[in-house]
Amino acid sequence: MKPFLALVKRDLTLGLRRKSQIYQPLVFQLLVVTMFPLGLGSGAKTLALIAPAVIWILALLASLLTLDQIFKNDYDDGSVESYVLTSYPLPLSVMAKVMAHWLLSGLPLVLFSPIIGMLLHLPSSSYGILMLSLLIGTPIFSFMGSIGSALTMSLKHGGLLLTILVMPLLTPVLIFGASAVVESALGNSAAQALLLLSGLLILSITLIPFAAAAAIKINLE
Amino acid sequence: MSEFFNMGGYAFYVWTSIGLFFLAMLIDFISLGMKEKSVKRNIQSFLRRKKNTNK
Amino acid sequence: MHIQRTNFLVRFYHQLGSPPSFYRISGYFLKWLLFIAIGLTIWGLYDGLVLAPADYQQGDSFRIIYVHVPAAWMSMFIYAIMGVCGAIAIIWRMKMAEAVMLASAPIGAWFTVIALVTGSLWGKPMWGTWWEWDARMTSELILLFLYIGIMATYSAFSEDNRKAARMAALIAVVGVFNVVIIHFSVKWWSSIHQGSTVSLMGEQHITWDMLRPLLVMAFATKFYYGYSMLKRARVYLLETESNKRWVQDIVLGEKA
Repeated sequence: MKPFLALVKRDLTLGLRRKSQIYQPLVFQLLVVTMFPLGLGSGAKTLALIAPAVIWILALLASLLTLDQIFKNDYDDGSVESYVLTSYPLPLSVMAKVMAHWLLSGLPLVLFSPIIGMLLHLPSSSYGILMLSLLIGTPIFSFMGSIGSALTMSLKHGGLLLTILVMPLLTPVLIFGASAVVESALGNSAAQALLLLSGLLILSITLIPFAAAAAIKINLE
Repeated sequence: MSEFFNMGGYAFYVWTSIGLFFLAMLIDFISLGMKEKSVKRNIQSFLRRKKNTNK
Repeated sequence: MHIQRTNFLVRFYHQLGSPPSFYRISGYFLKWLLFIAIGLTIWGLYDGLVLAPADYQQGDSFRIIYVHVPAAWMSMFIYAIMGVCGAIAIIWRMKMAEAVMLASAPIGAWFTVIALVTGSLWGKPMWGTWWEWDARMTSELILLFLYIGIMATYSAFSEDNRKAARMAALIAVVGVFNVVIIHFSVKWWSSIHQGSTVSLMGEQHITWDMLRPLLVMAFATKFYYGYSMLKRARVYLLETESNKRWVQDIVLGEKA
């Protein structure tokens, strides 16, 4: 467990020092959400109707901005090779990297989401479900992104390729996540969608570290 | 015969579908042939250059 | 030389695994695959467009299924093959599996495009719109993105063929797991957002006269896939093994 925590801690210190990974996705979200009333009209009803989808799509796009960073810097300074060479299992190192990435860029999105919801006139009774769904869903973004980042880390401009690879794979997350918020805004139970979303998270935790580890090994050959 | 081509009023939709099917297969077929030719030509010219430099 | 009979299958497997004999053996099949594909297509389309009776609900527009449904089937069938070959390529590093996987991608993507466009062409007269976010069409569209992702991955690492192939293989394997999840999530989504729309392969009972051409076309597309995939795999082998003796013998044996 020790190397795991050490890796998470190292990434957190680095991330907190740089800070751009934390606030830039939030600024991006705020910018895009400003465009919606400007383009659509400021009618509270219209905005509330599209709010769940917009918040979730924004969370997805904001995550995509930072996903290629999961392994990119480590690849550039050579520390990815040390993850492969040490006796510590590579999938666990991947898990640590994913966890650090989520704490730095996923968790802020979750905490920030009520503000976006408020700007889009989402009924305040749905804030809880909104945050809960994002809490379950955004780690899946980071997990899926770890595969994409492991594949594209050796490319100079891998960002677009990563988006093309990862976005279709994330459609189920978007479907379940957004519909949980829609259901709760309509006053229905969001339990089914949230359970399915949790199922996806469990699958991601158990399977994706191995896929990302394989991708790293192929990429370093 | 014209009844057959008319397809009960759906001529445009049916015949465009069939046409696109053939078009896609044809593009695949032609691009395959072109790719094969260009790969073989590349290898041939590579071998010829190698032979000339060895002389 | 003494060759035991029990070794036949093992020998065949190893021969397929070695590029030169794969090239030689597949060479015998190519022409026949293409002939059979063309023959079956002519039979299937004649049977489907001329002989089969019109559908009592959809009229003659249902005849689009004779290209739409085989293409949709192939798009999923080929993706499954790519997943299996991708797994083999990663685990056993078998070069032939890489070749088959990569060679399947373009033809699979074409079948997906055909399924999408013909579905849209059928949707216009039946649904009244060119596009409906119906569960099958939506998953087919996502499938097209997955095909594009695999091909984009391969071309992004063009300086190292084998690495590129294994990267693409990994994406194919991850994609196969996901396709199942995507399929069910999209189905779930469409079941809560709208009633079931009329589908090109609806619940109506299909008669043998209508089904037969469909099956013939399903085989025709499989044979064409076999042709296209084998030929592309052969070209891939020539390209990646161009410094090997057997490739040079083949290429020099033919006139420029």
